[in-house]
Amino acid sequence: MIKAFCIGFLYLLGYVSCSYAQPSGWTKLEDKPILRHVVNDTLAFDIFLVKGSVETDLYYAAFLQTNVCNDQLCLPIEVNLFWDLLGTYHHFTLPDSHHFTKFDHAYFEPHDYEKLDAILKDSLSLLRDYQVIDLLDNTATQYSLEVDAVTRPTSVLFSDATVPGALYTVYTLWHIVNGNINRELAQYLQQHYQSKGWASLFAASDQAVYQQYFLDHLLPEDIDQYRGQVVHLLYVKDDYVPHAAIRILGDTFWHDPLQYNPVIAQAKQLKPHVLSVILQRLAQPNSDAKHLLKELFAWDKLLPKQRERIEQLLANGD
Amino acid sequence: MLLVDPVMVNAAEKNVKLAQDVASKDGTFAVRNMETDLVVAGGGMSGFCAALAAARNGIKVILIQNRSRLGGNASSEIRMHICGATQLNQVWRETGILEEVMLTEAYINPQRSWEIFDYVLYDKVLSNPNITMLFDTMLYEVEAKGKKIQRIGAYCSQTEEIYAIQAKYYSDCTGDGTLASLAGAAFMRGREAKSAYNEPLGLDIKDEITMGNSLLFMAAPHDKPMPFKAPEWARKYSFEDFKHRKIHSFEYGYWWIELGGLENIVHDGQKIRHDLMGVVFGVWDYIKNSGNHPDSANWALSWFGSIPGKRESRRITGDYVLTQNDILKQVDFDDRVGYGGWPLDDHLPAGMDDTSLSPFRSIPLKGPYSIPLRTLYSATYDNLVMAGRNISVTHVALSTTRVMATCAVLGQAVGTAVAFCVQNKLSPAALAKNTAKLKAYQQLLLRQDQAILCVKNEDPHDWALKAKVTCSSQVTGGEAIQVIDGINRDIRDGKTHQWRAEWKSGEQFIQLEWDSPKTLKTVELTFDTGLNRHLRLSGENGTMKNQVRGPQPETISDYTLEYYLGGKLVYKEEQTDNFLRKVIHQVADLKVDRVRLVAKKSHGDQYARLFEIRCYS
Repeated sequence: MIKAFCIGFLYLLGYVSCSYAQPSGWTKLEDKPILRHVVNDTLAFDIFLVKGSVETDLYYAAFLQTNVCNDQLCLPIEVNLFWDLLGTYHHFTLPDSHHFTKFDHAYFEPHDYEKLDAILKDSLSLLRDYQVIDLLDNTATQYSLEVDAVTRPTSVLFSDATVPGALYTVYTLWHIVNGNINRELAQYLQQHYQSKGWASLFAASDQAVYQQYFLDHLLPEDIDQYRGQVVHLLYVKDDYVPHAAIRILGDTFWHDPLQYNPVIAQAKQLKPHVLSVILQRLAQPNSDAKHLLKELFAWDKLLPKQRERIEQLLANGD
Repeated sequence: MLLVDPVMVNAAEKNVKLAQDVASKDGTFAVRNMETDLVVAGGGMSGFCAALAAARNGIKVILIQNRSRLGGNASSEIRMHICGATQLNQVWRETGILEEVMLTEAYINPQRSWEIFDYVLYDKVLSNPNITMLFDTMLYEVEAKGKKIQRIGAYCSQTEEIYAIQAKYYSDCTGDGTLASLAGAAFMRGREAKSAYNEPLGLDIKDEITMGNSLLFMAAPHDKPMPFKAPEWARKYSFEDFKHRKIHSFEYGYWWIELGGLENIVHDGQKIRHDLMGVVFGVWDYIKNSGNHPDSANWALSWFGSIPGKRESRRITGDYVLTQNDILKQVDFDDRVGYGGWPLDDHLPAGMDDTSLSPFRSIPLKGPYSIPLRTLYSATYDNLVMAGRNISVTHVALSTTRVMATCAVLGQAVGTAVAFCVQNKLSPAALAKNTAKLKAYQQLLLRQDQAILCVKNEDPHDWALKAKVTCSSQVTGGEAIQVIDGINRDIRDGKTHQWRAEWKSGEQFIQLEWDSPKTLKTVELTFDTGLNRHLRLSGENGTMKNQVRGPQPETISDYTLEYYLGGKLVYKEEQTDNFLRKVIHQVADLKVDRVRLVAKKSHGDQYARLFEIRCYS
């Protein structure tokens, strides 16, 4: 994160926020905040563990209330910010009757909020690498009724990196949600993942990042306990989670037809590249396995290399 | 006599001073003593442009290249396509010598042969009598005294010759800063800490790590299945290895086949090359045999590089070190001599040794940035200059300046600077500090179509600036007067800076008139060649898409130059099939009061377009 942002941030913020308010619409799992995030020496806020209406819908959340200032004007913002359990920004909501405003107090339109959310989700945005002043068009000016003065608009070259007319708001929020807070929340997860029993939650999630985290942090001694969940991950939407699941299951699984036959029975549900790797890993097929492989061989969507491999398994058994 | 024996054959013509050959010590190697104005070490794009620029500006050059062909990473031996400011998707394709090469290659090479690209470079060097070209010649020693390099030693194993070369100036275009290092000149290496230059992309702690080298391949489809068996030393890859590295087509390799950043990129080169071969064959094995690319069945390898393309090694320290901040802020240096426009494009040092991480991070730029002369001469030696990827920049800044179009631009800047310095008897450092001389040098660069920002033609010797301009017709926005407005390209200021006339009413003319006769030696024209588009040879079909191979449609192809005195035509030149941007017409001291260009046709555009006319005595 750029060092200059810290200096610029003091410039941007004209108001100290020490918000203890609860993010609205969500239920705190614990009364105490899980940590207090310090943005700089004028801004800090509490982070809570919250859940939505669905029991498994968990987030870190904070209520942010502050001012965003450019060289002419300060605008107040109030927003609920949410991060997923890995510490990656997830979404925001606004308190009732609150709106974001942009140049000359125009309200954000619905598409502006959508764009803001998309920008905040882009951890590699240009906002990371440029100081806010460098995002302005040095050759143009626009007249502001609000302050009765000219200001500089955002350079058209960066129009995709911000909501037009709201550069400072977007820039400020981006650096808050994608700043050191990501690392702090990731550390919190690492420290509390086991004690909170989140492994099952992550394994059952439909989010690839949670599925991958579950697999990456599965201890060898726990594989037996979670084998069913790992097998389930062979069939998920993400391209890479199934490959990690294949590795976790290991040769003890892929050399034991009693374990892998159910997978072959469902082979048509697997992505083609996943099936290719599984077929390469299979060994010692018993008669049931060979029967299933013969049925699979008749499937017209098999790739040529997959056919070759099945023929090899039927002929040689490895 | 050998086909290419410039030392012996052309010595008399080229006025290269030769001492009597010293009899070789043991009867094997012949020792050649040579003396010249400028030695350019390295025949990649920067060295090629440096040598040609210097030679065209009237000084003698010896160009030594340790391969049998010119072009470096762009040659047929490595086949990296030339990248640069066109990546901005604006109007900034580089001009000058590089544009001349690219237009020529596009025109004569519809077959997209890499060897023809080599030939274009070779032809331009060989055709210039001021250049002595030494192929397969490796620099191995440098002798210096005080603040000056005295001589270099180089040898050619093919011809069993040792060259002892003395020059007024030495240009390190080796890419690795080899000449500078041998001389003991200061250089930088690795990645700087944030604290060194206050770069946001700097590290917390500096290190010696660099970007890696890449090895490319090419493949072609056939009309039957082409099986492939990988060698034992090929690396093994699986689906997950390509999470961050997309295999989008098979005909051209992938820049992300990269290794070596964590090693000594120069001294570990033998190992890095073997490792890269293992990657190339491993990736091809994955494509052909994993089953995940069934559409590769009929494809077969047709070529692979055996020389890795390098990105980074030593960076010679100059009087100024260009940084990330200079680039993002587009600092307008007084001593600007060229520009770049490629993104800040830093690569993962581990490359294919860690496929779990993205191989690069690219930060696009607002627009082109200027590069100052002070980054192109050594702070240690008065007569050492440099161009290419070994100039005086931080690691972060190198991530944008390293690409070959920028290197070529800097080569032209350096070659021109050395010639200017020789002729004006001052050093590059003195030039950078002398406002008047610097301005004259920048005007010279602009006149020679260098890619340089915010320099307007104010050449006091250009009679065109004092002429009255009229034309047969012009469109709104394409007024004829713009051919002498001092700007010879679109610079995104809302103006075209060119004369435009519609062809539909037939031939069009533009003319310059003076109240009193002028004696002209040259008339110089700058045509439109579509600088908003990419123009570069590539093995990648996607890269070639949206390019125009052949002459560019905007360019006036056929025209006549007419010279008048007192209403009478005194001389006329016909030009057909022009495809170049900058064309210089020599006339022998012709006394005229009017010059008229009659444009007859272009290569397809609806307008006759002309950016600039210059007239010199």
